[in-house]
Amino acid sequence: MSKTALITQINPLSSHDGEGVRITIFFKGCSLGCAWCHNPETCSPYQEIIWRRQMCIGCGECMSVCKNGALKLGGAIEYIDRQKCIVCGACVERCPSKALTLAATDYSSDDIVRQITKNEPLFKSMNGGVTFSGGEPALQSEFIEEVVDKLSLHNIHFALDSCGQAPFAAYEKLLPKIDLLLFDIKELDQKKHKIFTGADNSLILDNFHKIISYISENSLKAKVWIRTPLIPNYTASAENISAIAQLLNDLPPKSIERWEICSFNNMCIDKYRQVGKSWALGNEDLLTKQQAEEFLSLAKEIAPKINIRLTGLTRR
Amino acid sequence: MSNGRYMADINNSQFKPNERIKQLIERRDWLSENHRRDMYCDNAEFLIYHWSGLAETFSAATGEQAASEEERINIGDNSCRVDVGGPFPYLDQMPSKVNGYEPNVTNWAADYDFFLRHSEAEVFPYEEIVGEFHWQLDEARYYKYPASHKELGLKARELGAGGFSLAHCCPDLKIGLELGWGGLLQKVRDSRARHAKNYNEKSVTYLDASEKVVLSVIDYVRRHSEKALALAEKECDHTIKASYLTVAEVCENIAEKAPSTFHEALQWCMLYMIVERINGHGNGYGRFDQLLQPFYEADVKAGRIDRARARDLFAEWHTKYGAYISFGGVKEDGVSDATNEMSWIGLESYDMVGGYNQLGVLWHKNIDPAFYEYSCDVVGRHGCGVPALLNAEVMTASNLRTGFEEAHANNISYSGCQWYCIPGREYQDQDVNCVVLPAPMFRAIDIAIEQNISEWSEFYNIYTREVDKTADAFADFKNEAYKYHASLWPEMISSLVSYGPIEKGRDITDFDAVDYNYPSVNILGVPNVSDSMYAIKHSVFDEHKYSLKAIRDAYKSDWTGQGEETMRQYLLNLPKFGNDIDDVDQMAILISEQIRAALESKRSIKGGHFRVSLFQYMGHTVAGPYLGATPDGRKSEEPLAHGMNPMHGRNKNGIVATANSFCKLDFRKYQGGSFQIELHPSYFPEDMSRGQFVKAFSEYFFNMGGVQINLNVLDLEHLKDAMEHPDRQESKEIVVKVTGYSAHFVLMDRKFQEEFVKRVNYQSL
Repeated sequence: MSKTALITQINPLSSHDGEGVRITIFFKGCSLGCAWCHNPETCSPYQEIIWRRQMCIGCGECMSVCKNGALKLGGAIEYIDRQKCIVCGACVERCPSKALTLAATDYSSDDIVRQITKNEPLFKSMNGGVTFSGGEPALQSEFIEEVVDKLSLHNIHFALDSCGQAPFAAYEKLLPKIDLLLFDIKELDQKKHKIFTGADNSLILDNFHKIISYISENSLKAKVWIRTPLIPNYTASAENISAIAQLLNDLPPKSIERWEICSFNNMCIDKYRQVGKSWALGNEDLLTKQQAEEFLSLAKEIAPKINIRLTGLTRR
Repeated sequence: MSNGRYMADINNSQFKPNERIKQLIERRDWLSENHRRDMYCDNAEFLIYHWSGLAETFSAATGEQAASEEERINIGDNSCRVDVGGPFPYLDQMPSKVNGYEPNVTNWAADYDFFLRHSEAEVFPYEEIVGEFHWQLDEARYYKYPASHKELGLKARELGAGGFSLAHCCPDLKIGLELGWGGLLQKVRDSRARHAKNYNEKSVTYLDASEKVVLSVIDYVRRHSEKALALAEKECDHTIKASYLTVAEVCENIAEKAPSTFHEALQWCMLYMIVERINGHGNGYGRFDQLLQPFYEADVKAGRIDRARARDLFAEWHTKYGAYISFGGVKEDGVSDATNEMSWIGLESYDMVGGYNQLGVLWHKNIDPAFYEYSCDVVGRHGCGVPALLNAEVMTASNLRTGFEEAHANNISYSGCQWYCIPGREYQDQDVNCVVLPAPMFRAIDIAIEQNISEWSEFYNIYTREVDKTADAFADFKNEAYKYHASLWPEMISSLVSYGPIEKGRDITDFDAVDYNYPSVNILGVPNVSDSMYAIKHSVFDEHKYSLKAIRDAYKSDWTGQGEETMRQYLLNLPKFGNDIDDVDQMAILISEQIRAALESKRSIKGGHFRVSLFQYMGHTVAGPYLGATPDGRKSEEPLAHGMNPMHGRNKNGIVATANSFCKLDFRKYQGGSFQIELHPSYFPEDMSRGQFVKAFSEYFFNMGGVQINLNVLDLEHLKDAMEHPDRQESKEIVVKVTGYSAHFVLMDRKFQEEFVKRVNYQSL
């Protein structure tokens, strides 16, 4: 019996998840809960109802099929009581305007393999490959391993986009089979990390060092890119960027191929509303280009040995 | 661009304009920004049916046949006519006004001769390539088909069809470049002598008229030389004086003799286009890299020119008139790549001046990858759909299927929005005819309700019968026009450089003049009809969720009745074309194949069958309220889908899914169908080569059988800003590939702007 996984999205022309243009697969379920998370629909490992308020026409069809009284109707639905909702999907089935949908689709590894091979000519011609993202894909290492094994003869460039908060065994299993690890180091201060993400960074840093030695000791082909989100009032501080820069600069040469500093964007605010969550950063402005570039200069100054890129959006 | 920013700087071109070219760019932009290059059509009906019932073509800008300023619609600045205000100054002295109008070639040529001889030869400071005109002949000469034609036109419109017949072909400038105007004159006279020997009166009359036309052109070209010389004598600035003297020499050399240098050849082409466009609407002008390469090579060999100078001259040419020309493609053998140094120079020169232009690059499997990557790089950096990327293999296959000879079919050239021609060999009304496909569908629905139809197959049969009725009405209308075409409005300049007209002594618009006459027909609303038919099949006949009558009543009232919004949402959220969902994509194939077969079964009295194009350039923006809501859940006020592109906002599975759906259609069976993409600049990470991305994506698309990509890289939010603040300099600079043609965004009609900003702006794909 083939494994299945809940996938929220498959993006066949992704340009920001590793080298080239890639097909990115978003797994549902994450081991951290970052305040700035851009994919709130991927946090919970369970199926959820997505509700797009602006598409609701207030016809009341959903109410008539909800057996748990989880839907409250005003002119349109006022809210979904997520405590009462058992995610049976009856309202989704009934909703004529598709204002109610399911957050994810259950895929078998064969389904995913099919999606990948269908897009293979495209991403190969753009020097890209496949990126497993999420959520935390390392939590689904067995599923990913199955997909990668089924495609072992295809010579595909695989990347794993991980927050680092997963058992080392998962990396141990996947690293020999992938080509690129996108590994997040978000915040070096233990306490702050715990406040920002719900967990301190000890497992992440431990994994990080183990991964670096594991790759070098076994001469694995996998490259490592470190990614640091630049979040105003959170990680975007001179102390944090300096500390991460120092950490990376002190690594043995060529341990990592690139460090990406990703400037915050607020495009995902709607997604929070859709899954019935509030978001502290909803009104946060983008960094200015100058602010972002100052962080980049700081990073470059402290970590001259590291190849550093600035990505993401800045204010016009 | 008074602030001194040039496209070359803005878009990181390595080719920077020199001071002279900067002056010319400024004049180009001034003309556009000040509405000196606008083009009009009569009204919304013209955009929908390609025939207004008033003018016989686009609206004349001035004169008796002009539409009022309140009514006419500005299509954008895609005209090479330069407006100087007011009507043609010698209007009352036109021979047909003084001596009487007759619909025949002699009468037409007398008007043309007078008109051109009274058109000013325009020479401006810094120019080394000259040519500009201010009035077209339809602003001064009566242009109307007989009443019988209008009657059939109105009948066709009632059934959902229309069209006009003018230009929109592609003469072969090679004929003219080899012979020059003197040589063409001799050819006309020789042919006339042959026909006189055979007492072929009709041809002799035609060639008499043709002789008159050529003589007026020779005079017109020579007057440019005289004007430049006169200006030079009075000019003190050495640089400007030198350019006047250059113009004088070049124009004198080509007034009668064939051009012998690259510069003369470019100038010859420019004045050719001017004297041809004076005749009416424009044509495509062929494969310019093939046409110009021999002149360039000879110049280089003789030490007369280098690449930089050739690039400057071509850049100047682009600033004057961004005509439909093409680069790349295959050689006559149909396999080897035709890209040459001139392909590069032509594209580099565009890279230098940027902005409004209509050129296209003909991709095929063996194209020089470096040249194709550069083409894609130019599309990505300039971001305004220039060049259009075209699949020459599919175009050629389509022509072979239609009935072209192989030797001709390989010489394909991109000639207009989404259409292509074999230079000098065809006259096929590309892009000027239209079938409005929702019309027969509405009739079929009414009939099915009346007859209480309960099976999908019966309903579909009714639909096909109604489509056939529309196709018949269309063919009758067009054939009525063709009876009068050659005598009413001959195209004598295009005829001079085509294969057949001069030899046979009959105009290119006449029967049996050129090799191919398969009129092409745009189809408006194929995705809407496909989505509607799918919705009807699913909800009425398969699931019995709604009755056909309930659906009709709902869309007739624009979904305002009790519970009709729920129904609309249900219909709207059924699978839609453009998401790579086989079921509904199959419906799109069925619907497009059906209209294709219907039109292919009709004959033009010029000889060929009618040929379907899955494109319609602007009708979709205004057709909504005219046609009303549709069963796909579309509201009346919403635009229709553009060409074969999925309806706005319905392609929810990303651009790859849309491309996959699109390419399920076999474009070898159609005369074009462009794929439109609006890409957000933030899609590209700083270190990603836009050229490489565009190349890879377009080749993926072409390998699946796609025929044309118009790719804009822009932020639709900026365009919304530009709509609010059209006077800002950054607003004025925005050029977009609208459908198949380029225009400055702020100059377009408001409706067009509104439709454009509704498109999906892919930020992540």
